[in-house]
Amino acid sequence: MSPPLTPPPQLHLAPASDPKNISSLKRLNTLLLPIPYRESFYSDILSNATDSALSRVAFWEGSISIVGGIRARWELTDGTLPKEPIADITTIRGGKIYLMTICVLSPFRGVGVAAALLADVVETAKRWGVEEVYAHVWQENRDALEWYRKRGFVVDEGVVEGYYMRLKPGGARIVRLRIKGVS
Amino acid sequence: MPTSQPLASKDASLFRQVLKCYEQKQYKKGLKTCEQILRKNPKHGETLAMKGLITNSLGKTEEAFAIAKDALRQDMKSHVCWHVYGLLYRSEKNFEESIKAYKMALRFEPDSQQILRDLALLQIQMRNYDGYVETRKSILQTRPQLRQNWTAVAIAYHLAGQLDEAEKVLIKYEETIQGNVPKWDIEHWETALYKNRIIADSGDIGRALEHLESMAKNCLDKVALLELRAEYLLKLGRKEEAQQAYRILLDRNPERRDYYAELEKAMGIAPKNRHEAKAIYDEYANKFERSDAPRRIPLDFLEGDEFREAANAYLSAKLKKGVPSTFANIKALYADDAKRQTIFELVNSYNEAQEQGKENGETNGSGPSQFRLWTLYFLAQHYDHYRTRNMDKALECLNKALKLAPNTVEFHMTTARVYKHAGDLQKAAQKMDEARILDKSDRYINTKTAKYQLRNDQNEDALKTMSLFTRNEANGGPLGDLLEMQCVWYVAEDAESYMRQNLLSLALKRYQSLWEIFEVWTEDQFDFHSFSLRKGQIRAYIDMLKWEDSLRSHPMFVRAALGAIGAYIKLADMPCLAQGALANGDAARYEKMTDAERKRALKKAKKDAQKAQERAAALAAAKKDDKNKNAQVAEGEVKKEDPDPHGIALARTETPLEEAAKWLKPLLEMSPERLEAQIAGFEVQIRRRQWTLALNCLNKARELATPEDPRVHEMVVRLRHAVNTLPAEEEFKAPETREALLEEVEKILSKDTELSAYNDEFLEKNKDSAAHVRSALRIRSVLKPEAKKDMSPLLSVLDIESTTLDEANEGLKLLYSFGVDENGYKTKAAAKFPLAKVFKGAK
Ligand SMILES: CC(C)(COP(=O)(O)OP(=O)(O)OC[C@H]1O[C@@H](n2cnc3c(N)ncnc32)[C@H](O)[C@@H]1OP(=O)(O)O)[C@@H](O)C(=O)NCCC(=O)NCCS
Repeated sequence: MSPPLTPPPQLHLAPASDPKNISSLKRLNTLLLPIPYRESFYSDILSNATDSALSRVAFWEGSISIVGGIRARWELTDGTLPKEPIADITTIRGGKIYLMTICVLSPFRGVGVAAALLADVVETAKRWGVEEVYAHVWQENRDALEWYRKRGFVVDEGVVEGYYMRLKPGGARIVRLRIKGVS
Repeated sequence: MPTSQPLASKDASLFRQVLKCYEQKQYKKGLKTCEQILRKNPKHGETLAMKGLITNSLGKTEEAFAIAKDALRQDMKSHVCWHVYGLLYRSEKNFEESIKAYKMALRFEPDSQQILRDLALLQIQMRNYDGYVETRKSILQTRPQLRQNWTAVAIAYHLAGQLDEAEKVLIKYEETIQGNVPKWDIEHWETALYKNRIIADSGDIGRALEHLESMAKNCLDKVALLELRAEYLLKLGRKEEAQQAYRILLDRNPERRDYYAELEKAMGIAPKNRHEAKAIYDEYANKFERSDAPRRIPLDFLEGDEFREAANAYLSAKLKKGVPSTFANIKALYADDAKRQTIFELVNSYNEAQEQGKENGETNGSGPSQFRLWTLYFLAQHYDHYRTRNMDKALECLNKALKLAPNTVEFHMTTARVYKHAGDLQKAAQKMDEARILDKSDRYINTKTAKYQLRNDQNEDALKTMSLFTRNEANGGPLGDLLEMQCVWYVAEDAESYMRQNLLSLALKRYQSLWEIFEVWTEDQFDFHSFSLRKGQIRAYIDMLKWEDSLRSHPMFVRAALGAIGAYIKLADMPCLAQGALANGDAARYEKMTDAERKRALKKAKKDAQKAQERAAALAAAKKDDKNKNAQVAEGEVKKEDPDPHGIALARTETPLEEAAKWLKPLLEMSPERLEAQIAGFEVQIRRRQWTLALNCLNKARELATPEDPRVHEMVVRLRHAVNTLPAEEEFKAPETREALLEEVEKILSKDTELSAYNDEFLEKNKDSAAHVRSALRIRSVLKPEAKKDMSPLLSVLDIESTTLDEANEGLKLLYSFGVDENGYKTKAAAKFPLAKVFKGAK
């Protein structure tokens, strides 16, 4: 695991839960990710407190356009969603965090944008005392797998076949980060 | 949206100058001007972007990307910065990333024609039809006055499979012009015909016909009109009219074979009813005295006396007229034993009558008749044909003909060909060269000579021959020009020659060139996406796209892929070959040589390779001097020197099988129905220990071949054997499992099979077929290496009358690959094929 670097000074993060930022996040994801997400993927960020706390967009030097974004959700330990949305997030203890999307515009890669976005989620994860932060990664996305590995994630053995219906091959690998220091 | 970083007016004019410099390829000046602006405005994004773009044009790609990224970090809202970023990816052929960058650029400058066009080009190139529809619609919105923008949207819908939308767009377009079409407007009628095709493709033939007739008077492409009309009438079952339509077409062009076939259909003539069919051909033969098709086609279906009569008329007319290609015209009939016999009897009877006539003093003194010459020529080709081969008689005919007309190039060429078929490649090349000298300006014979020289592994001579017709001052000399001209036959023959010499590095180099030529053909589309639209040649454009989609099913690609895969497999099996050539036998023996022998063999191989390299380098240096004298290189443009002209680096690859897999992918994708492709796939995958992939290839091969096919037998036993001997610790990557593999292989051949006995049985049953014997012996060498020495079945094959030279040659190669003494075999084969050089020199 590489030592943490300080984020670049031009970078600042903002909650995604602002209608304008949400539409920016949507455009970013559509541009960069090979699979489309449902409308609720975005609208839930506004309505659901945990989704909101786990979603961020990244701006570069006061620019009005975002350069990166992260979207995650909170799950119960068994991987299911809570029956009722959590109203007061300060009450959350345990469970897991599932990273749904993270991406950065290509010219802004390699300077710590994704690292800062992930750090924000991991910080929340620690605060909530979750067991792990995990994600699916397309089996062919070597760069992303490597990126997670370098950030302390462990890649599960084996491939989840047929996870991505639109991609060929369609398998996914699961990456997991154990969260220590549960309070 | 204006950039967020406006420049002072002086700097702004400098910036415009940069753009101009770039367009005019004045890169150095452009860079200087950039620096001038940056001195005052070090963080000006668009200037940085232009600096990156120019840097890329100077060949410094990595630096260019760094600058372009910096540009974006300074000014991420500038469409110029994003456009440049996309152009850099485009030049790297990373079209996916390029598309993303263009889309970002359009976010900040949605109406930019330039960027929209660039984006559309990439989308169609990547066959991203949905994206293409969207982009073309945006372009149409900004420029509806251009016809090509309408057709482009229609094409986009058409390709995306939305035929009704495509038609709607074209209807709307027609509404906008309100029938104001000048008569000579070809492009308009092309668009109309395109619309007609869309209607027909949607399945409503009746409406397509109606639409076609509505423009019949004015449309300029008359042939297309007539052909489509005939086709639609036939499809609609309006047979009377269809007949008439095809008759009109035949009157225009009585040589088109498919018109006859369609006319037969329209007349309701059953495929069996040849009697009635013959009447049609007779009718057209009478009507068109000089036409070939109505005379030649009936030979395909007539039998017995009718055939004899028709063939006699056909052959005697052609030969009397002196048509050199007469034999080529009827060669296809040789597959039929009776027809072959009849043809021979006929032509032989001409010959006999001519000889008799000569004895009776009937020649009229004005030199030999055409009939005499071309009858002899025909017979020579008959005796050279593989089904009726008799080399002595072939040469006899040719010699007679040459005595009568010593300078007829065909006779010389066929003499060379006869020697080639007899296995004397050296004499063949020599004879062909003699023919070439008769007329040095004949490019065809020049090319043939080069090919024959390559068959005889005279690579340098062949290039010299070719150089008589190449632009030798081109980058890389004659070979450079041949590559530039995409002369694929030459490159392939050269590669195959190096393969025979075990010079794998050079062979791989040539195969690599072929790979690149196919890449270029894929890229060539780029020019047509815009050109065809501009010129309005839509139907041809759509055909071209379809052709491109299956480009790598082209026989030449298959040939190159099989060759390259073969080379990489050789490298994987015998890594010592990467060192350079080892003479045929040495390569196989290498594994068994003593250390001292190995050293000697390798040293010799290295020396040979080095020599070849030095020779080529000297040649190149000499050429370069000339070039520098007369070549004017554009300012700053980089001439990329080939860092590996002899393929040394290619042959030194650490992962030959992965390289082979690269060729395999398009091969299996585009030509899965080729047995050879599946076999190549099996060979690669079994070596990569990709058991399931090997199994898949085997199963496909079993579908394609007969169960008795020797190559299938070989694969079945090898896979069974490999699976039987799998180590316990063999790793299987999900979803592959040991159990599933075992189960699948069991279906092909039971694990209880005693493989050696099974193989011996196969050998016994097929001992009269050379290919079967070789397969069985190869298997035996795997199962029982100690039995390798017993080559008696291979020798017995030579006793069989029908064993061909190629088969005998394959047998010799097998002996080499086993490293078994080949002298006995050579002696025996030399007796059977006295002229074949490969069997010479048995000790
Ligand atoms: C995978 C992806 C999110 C990474 O984004 P990124 O912003 O380039 O990532 P980072 O900048 O944090 O890390 C990249 C490198 O920059 C380095 N870096 C430079 N400056 C840094 C800084 N100030 N802080 C942290 N890292 C820095 C890191 O060390 C890292 O290198 P390493 O992995 O060799 O250690 C991005 O490539 C992406 O969007 N890909 C496409 C979408 C995708 O695949 N998403 C993942 C699946 S959902």
